[in-house]
Formats: sequence, structure tokens, C-alpha cells
Amino acid sequence: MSINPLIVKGIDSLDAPESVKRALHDIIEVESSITVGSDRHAASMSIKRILERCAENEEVVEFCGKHG
Amino acid sequence: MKRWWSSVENMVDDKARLQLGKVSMKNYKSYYGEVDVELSRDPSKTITVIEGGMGKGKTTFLGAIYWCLYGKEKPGATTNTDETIISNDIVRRLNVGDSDTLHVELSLYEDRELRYKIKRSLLFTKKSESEGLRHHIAVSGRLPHGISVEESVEYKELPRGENDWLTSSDPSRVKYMIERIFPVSLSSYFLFDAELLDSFFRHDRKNRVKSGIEEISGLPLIENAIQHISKAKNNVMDGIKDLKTDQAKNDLHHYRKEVEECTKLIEVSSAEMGKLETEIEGIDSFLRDHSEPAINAIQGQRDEIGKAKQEISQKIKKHRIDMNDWLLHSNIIGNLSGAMSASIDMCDVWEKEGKIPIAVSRLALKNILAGDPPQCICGASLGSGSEGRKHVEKILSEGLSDSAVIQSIATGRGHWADMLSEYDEQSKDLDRRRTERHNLRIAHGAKESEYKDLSRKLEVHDLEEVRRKSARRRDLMDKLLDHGGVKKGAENKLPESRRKLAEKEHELKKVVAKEKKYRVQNNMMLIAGGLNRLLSQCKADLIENMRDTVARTTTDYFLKLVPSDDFSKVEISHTYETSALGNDKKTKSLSAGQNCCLALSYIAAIREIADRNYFMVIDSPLHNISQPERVGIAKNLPAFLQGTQITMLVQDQEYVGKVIRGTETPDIESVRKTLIDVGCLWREYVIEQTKKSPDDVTTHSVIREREDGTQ
Repeated sequence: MSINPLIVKGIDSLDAPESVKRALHDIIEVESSITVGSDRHAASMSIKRILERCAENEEVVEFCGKHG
Repeated sequence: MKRWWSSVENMVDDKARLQLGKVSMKNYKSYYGEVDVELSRDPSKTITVIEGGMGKGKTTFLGAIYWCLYGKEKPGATTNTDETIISNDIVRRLNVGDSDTLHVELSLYEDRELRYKIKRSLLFTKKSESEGLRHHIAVSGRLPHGISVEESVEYKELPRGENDWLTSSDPSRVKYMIERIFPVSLSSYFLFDAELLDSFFRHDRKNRVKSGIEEISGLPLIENAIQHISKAKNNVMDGIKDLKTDQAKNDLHHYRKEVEECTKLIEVSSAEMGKLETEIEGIDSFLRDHSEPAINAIQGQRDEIGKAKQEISQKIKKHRIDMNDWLLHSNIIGNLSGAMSASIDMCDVWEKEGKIPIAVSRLALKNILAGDPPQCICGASLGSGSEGRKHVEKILSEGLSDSAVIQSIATGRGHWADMLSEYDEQSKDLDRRRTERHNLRIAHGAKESEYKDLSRKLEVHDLEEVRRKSARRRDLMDKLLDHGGVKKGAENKLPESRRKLAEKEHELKKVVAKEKKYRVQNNMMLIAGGLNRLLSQCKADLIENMRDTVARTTTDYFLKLVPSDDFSKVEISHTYETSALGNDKKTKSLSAGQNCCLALSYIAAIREIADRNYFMVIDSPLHNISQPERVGIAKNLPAFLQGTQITMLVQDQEYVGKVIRGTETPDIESVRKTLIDVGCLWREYVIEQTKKSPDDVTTHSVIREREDGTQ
């Protein structure tokens, strides 16, 4: 599924650091690559990898720690 | 969150515009042979009309586009149960073993550039002459029996700025690529017919509106993302749950303690056993020298010696008694022997002095008796009554002769000599007896000494001590056994405990390694929570704003499409209940045509929130609605959907028919004229049905351009 520009705008408009928005864009990007019947497990793993990458970013950790 | 929605309304023009360029078909259902239909790509004249009567093939045309894109029948498209995906005439003309093909090909333009080509084909082979139909899963359609089918699909894409086409014929890949361009979930909003339009607001309106807004806007992406983040978070949580650090540490502590205890137990037991063994060794050494049998032997020995000593004592005693008797006897003889010796000596003297004649006379005896005191020559008293005197008087009375006397004296003297001789013997016997007694005393002394030695030895050998020591030894042996048991148990347990300890150490290492990840995982959970919250917030805002926008736009369109002043607003509630409000702000019931207009308004409105400006193919949009509404749609829809390619499949009367209302009231023009007047009609086609060959059993759809068309 292609990504609706409204979603992109919606994420961009969030009151969050750029690194957090970047993570959300990446996650939505992963989701858009999934089609019906495709490997959802692989998608979960991709998202897990994004979370792992974010876990090393202090800014993301701090923000999500406060707002999670 | 900033209010970003104000900029959304201007986004439609910015969206990529997706258009169908050409629809090519061969042998698809009623379309026998090859058919090519060009659709408008003119941004100012966006409408292409395909006109055809009932059952001519309008819905089949729409279905062909759907089948080409998704490889399956459009839901609800087929109403004729005898319709097959390939013409019966083609099947009939095939000989067994012959093949023919069917295909639908679409060319798609994005922003006026040919970007995609999709061709879906079926290769038919006649295997046998069989009648009847069957549903074929592979083609999602009906097929005559005896026909085998092989499906193929080809997808071509020309990436922006590239000259070479990317091609794929892998069905999964093609499915993915098409889904990316034109998701099947959105198709019902862009490829639809009036019946669906009509039912859109009759049945399940609430869910239709909800799914429309959410699917068109791509909200499932966010929902899926939230789900996947939650899933990833759960995976992380599971990982953390698996992280049994405390358990591993406790286990390790437990086995470490166990090993220490075992080792200590072994050490303590060994030390205790060492002490006990030393003590037992001492006791054993003592007992070896002081054993009861040994003491008993000494005692026996001493008793023997005591007995022997006693025997000797008795012998000595007897010996003394014998000696005394003997001495007494010896003294008499000694004394007698002395007297005899003296008598012999006296007789010798007397003989020498002549006192004793060689023959002793009676007179001599009488003189002796007459002596004062009468005394024998041996000195013995011969007093009155004495034995000597009686003997002498007896001799005198018997009247012995001198010779007899002399004889008697001689005999006497001989006795005396014997007696003296006997005395010598006795003296020797005395010496012997004395020696014997001396020897006995020596023997007794020796035994006495030996007895005393043994007694002294026995005094040293305290039997009670031996018994006490033996008891102590038994206790020590019991303790030794106990300690041995404990030690053995600990020794047996130790290897297993060490093995488990090593195992747990290994486990802990792994857990510690996992612990290092824990921090990251914990952060991941925080992040997952935070991102989900943000996405949920984003989703809630999107839904809210999209609903508002769709409701507002639907209102605008609806009020223009419905030629009535009775309506003031279309409202979409938070629960997606959609209603048209009258001027009194109350919900008004709608006619079929008004419902259709509301559905069209809604579908047109939700395009505002779609990611692309998708083409629309509408089958019978003018069906079941009044002429003013038809004209309203023809006039306003192209204006609402500026730049959107619209292909309308219409029935002839709905399209070209007009209402003549007399002289006072103006006529209501036809839809066709309205479209021409508005200037948005690009091309018109007509679907006809014909038999291609005289022996055809069914008629076939043919599309041709309208002879008096706009071009």
C-alpha cells in the first residue's frame, strides 16, 4: 500500500523530535511494503530492528520514556 | 499537535494522477475477439462515456478491468450464472487438444506518463467435449467442463526518469506491485456501479463510510504499524520475561553453596576421621598390649606360679616337719650314739684300768647296782624302778653266765657300733635334707619372685581401663563410620553439584549477556510505547479531521447534486452514522436517487483524502435517479472531480434521453448534452451485440466509437 501524503504530513506535524518522526516514517514505510498475504512476521522483525536502532538513540529513548 | 489540516484541501492537485490509457481485451467473456478502448487522458475533458443497453456488456467491461488488476471476479459483478470467462462459441469451435487465449491488458498513466502495463492472460486447452459449467478457482470464474486453463500475468513499470521497463511475471510480485499502485481495498471507491452505489447507503452505510474514510486515507497502515509495534514490544517483553537473571543467580548461589558445603563437609569429615583414626590407632596399640586375653594369660600364669609356689611352700612345710621329726629322731640317736661312744670309750678305759674284765661277772653287775647312786657305766641312772635297773636286775635274775654276759656285752657293743654307723648315715641324710630344704627354699623364692613380677604386671594392666578403652574404640568406630558416611555422601554429591554449578555458571553467563541486551530491550519497550502513543494520536487526529473534511465536502457536493433546497447539511458522526439534515437540522429520509447522489458525493469527497488522484470507472451512475439529478451529476461531478479521469458506462436512455415539460417549464436536457455543454466529454463509445459468425450460438459485445460522437 502506498503511503497517503496525509499520513506523512500527520507524522511530520507531531510535536516530537525529528529522530522520533524519522522512526515513525520508517515504520510506516515498512508497513507500506506489506501486501495482503505477505510475510507479516518479516514486517514485525523489520519494525523490531527499527526499535533496536532507536534504542541506541538517546533523544528517542528520552522522549519516548517521557511520553510513552 | 499542530493543526495541519488546513493545508490538506489543496493537496488534491498535488497528488499523483492515475489514469487508464487503453483497455485491450481479447475473448473476455462476451467480448469475442480483440477490443481496444482508449480512455480520456485530457485534463480538461476528463469524461469518457461508454453507452450500452441492458446486458450489452457494460458491467463486463468494468469487470474486465477489475479482473486484469486483481485476477478475480469483481464482487457482485456477475449476475448471469451461465456466463463463462471465455465465450462458449470459442470453446465450441475448439477441437480437442486445441488452445486459444484470453487476455485483458491495461495501460496506466501517472501524471500523463505511461508508467505501467498490466496484462493478464489465460491459455485454454480443450481436453474433452463436455457440457456444463464449473467454477474454476484459478481464474475465479466459470469455465466449461473439459477445458484446462493456464493463467499468466505480466507487469511492466517504467520508473520515473528511466528508459528501460521493469518487467515481472511472478504472480506474487505482480500482486504486490499492483497493490502498491491501486490497492484492492480502494477499488470499490473507484470501480463501481450504480447498484453498489445505491446499496452503499442502504446497507451497512455506517461501516461503508467508516471503512471508506479509513481505507482511503491509508489508516490501516497506522493501525498495522501500531499492531506490529505492539507485537514487537510483546516479543521484547517475552525476551525480558525469559531473562531469568534472578533465578539463574539464585541457582548459581545454591549450587555454589552446595559445592562449598560438600567440600567443607569432606574436609571436616576427613579431619574428624583423621583424629578418630589416630585415637583408634592409639587404642588399638594399647589394646594390642593390654588385651583381655593377654591379661588373662598373665593371670593364669601367675595363678600357675602361685600354685607352684604354694606347692613348694607345702613341700617346705612338710620338709620342715619331716626334718623336725627326723632331727628329733637323729638327736636321740645322736645322744645315744654319744652315750654309746662314751660307753665304748669308758669300757676301753675300764678295760685298760681293768675295771671291766674281759668277762663281766655278776659281781660287777652287783657292784654297779650297789653304787651310790647306782649308775650305769654309761652314766645312765640305775635308780630304783628305772628301766636300766630292771634290765640289769633281769640279767642278774636270769642268771646269765659270764660268757653270756660277755657275749651280751659284746653284742651290745656291736649294736653301739651299728648305731654309730647309722648315725653317720643320718648325718649324711641330714646334709642331704638340708640341701634339699635349701633347694626348696630357693625354688620357693624364685616362684615368689616370679609371682611378684606377674602380680606387679597385673597391677599395671588395669582391665577396667582396657574395657573403657574398648568401649571408647567402639564409639570412635561408630563415629568414624558416621563421618565416613557423611564424607562418602558428600563425595558422591560433589561431582553432580560441580557439574550443576558449571552448568549454572554457563547459564548465568548467557543470562548476563542477555542482561546487556536488557537495557536495549527496555529502551525498545519505552520507544514502542512512545511511538504507539504518537501513532495513536496521529491516527485519532487524522480520523477526526478526515471525517470533518469528508463530511464538509460531501455536504458541498450533495447540495449541488441534489436539485432541492430541502437539505442543509450532511453529517458524519463519530460513530460514522451518515445522515442528510434538512433545513430544520433534522435528519431527512432520502429517495433512491438522493441516496445515489449522497453516495456519489461521499465517494467524490473521500478522494480528498486519498493518496492519489485515481481514475474512476462508474457503471450506470444514472440508474434509478431522476432526470434533474442525472443532469446535476453530469454538470457537477466533473467540476467536483477536476482532473480526475471518469469513465461512465451508461444506458442509452439515461444518457441521451431528455424530459420535455411543455412550454411553461423548461425542458430538462439529456445528460449527453449537459456533458457536451460543460465541455468535459472527451469520447463516446457504444457497445453493441452481434454474432460474428452465422453459426454463433450467442451474441458478442463489440465496442465502437459513437458515430455522432464528440470527436
